[in-house]
Amino acid sequence: MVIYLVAFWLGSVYNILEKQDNFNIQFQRTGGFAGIVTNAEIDSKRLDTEEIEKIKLLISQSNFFGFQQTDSLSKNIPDQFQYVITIKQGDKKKTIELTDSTVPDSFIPLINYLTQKSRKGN
Amino acid sequence: MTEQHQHPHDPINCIIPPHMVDKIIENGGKDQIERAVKTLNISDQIRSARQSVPEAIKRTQAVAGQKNRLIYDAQNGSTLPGTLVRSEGDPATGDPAADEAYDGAGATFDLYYEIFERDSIDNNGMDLISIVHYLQGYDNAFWNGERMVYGDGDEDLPVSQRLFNRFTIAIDIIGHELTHGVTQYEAGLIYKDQPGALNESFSDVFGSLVKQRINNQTAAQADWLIGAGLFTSKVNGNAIRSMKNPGTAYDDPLLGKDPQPGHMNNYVQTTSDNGGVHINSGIPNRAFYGVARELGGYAWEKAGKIWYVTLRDKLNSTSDFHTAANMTFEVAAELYGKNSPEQLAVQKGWDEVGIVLNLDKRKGCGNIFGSFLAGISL
Repeated sequence: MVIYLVAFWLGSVYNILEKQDNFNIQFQRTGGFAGIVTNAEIDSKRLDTEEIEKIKLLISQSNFFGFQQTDSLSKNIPDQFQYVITIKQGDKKKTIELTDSTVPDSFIPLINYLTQKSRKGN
Repeated sequence: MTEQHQHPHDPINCIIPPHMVDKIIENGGKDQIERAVKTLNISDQIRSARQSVPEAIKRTQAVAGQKNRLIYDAQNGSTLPGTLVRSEGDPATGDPAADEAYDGAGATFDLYYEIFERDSIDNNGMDLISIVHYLQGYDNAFWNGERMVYGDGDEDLPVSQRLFNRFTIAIDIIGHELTHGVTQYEAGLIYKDQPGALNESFSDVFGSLVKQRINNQTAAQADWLIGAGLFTSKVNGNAIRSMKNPGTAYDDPLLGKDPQPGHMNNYVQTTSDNGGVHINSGIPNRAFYGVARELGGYAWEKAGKIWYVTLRDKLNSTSDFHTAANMTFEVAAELYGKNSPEQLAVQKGWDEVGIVLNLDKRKGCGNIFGSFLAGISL
């Protein structure tokens, strides 16, 4: 009985931790000289552990959930890209809109990764 | 010289935060929008000036008609401007991107100076600053309010997966980006909805004219493609846009189909891409092609002249397609006479894309012949 309860407890903890680690990313890039829209959706449930860790690092390095959206997109700059990124991770969900002129350097690796995925039609 | 040339010190320009300016452009009235755009243009220039080109390299005094090209290599990073790799008069570097940016900026300067008597982007001998190798896998080019910036395409992907070549590969792209600067200093068309699509279209028009002039092609000989050579062989497409047949430039499993309309009946209502500025530009693009086709010969000589004078003298930041149509008709009369073949060609070009001239709706400025033409009914 005790063993069963411990196993159940461990299983519950594991499930909670796994859910907190799960993430879903929606990415859209519009604008640019070509004006071609690209999209990507990335779900951790469909990725191997190595890829999951890589993306988690990119999210962490960008400080995505701590980033303060200024609402300043400077949309009057011709031909720049506009990016909309929504990440749901555990209980957290946030959408950030950026343009080439407002992308912080910390976001560039994440955007490069998502752009590559969108090009491949993933 | 316009106010934008002078960069007046307006205290309001210093206090309005950018997000508020964006909101004004989105929701404000015409006067509010014009003021906000002026603010935004200056703010963007100030922002880009923070990463300024060393003053010692720039000319201290512009000489009329003498171009000064400066090519920088960002070395696939985000820090601008990067390393200076070629200045005016220097020999070729051997780097295709740097040399194409140099040659393309020169050909664009020459078109504006030799044909339209315009001295560089600001008509005051402004340096032509280009930055190549911007970021990694950056499949784009843009005008940042002060300089032209070019990426290398999707060179970060394996060769077999690449869709884009470097963005300096097509000279009309260089002319396109530089013309965004000209528009900024002239009409100041806001980058949204129809004014934004006009902004894009003027860049395509003069980008195409740069290419046609370099190739010594008449309107009948030109391909009227924008960005030919930019796609790799993996893409099913000839170019990014077709001015002659909007919507036919590419049709690819990965990129989708060229979404440009060539007629007002197919105008695309969207909030994406600032209201479809790269989509609906197909309509005025085709109108220009139609005018050039009707007039024959070299498109920069008459059609280009009409479009240039319209951009310089007649349009403002909120001008829409109908205003542009009416103003080109008015400029054609000023340059070539009322009911001249040139003026009738302009009328036909716009008519073919579903824009019927209505002189009562003109919103342009500086209508020297306004009252004279007001009674003309088409």
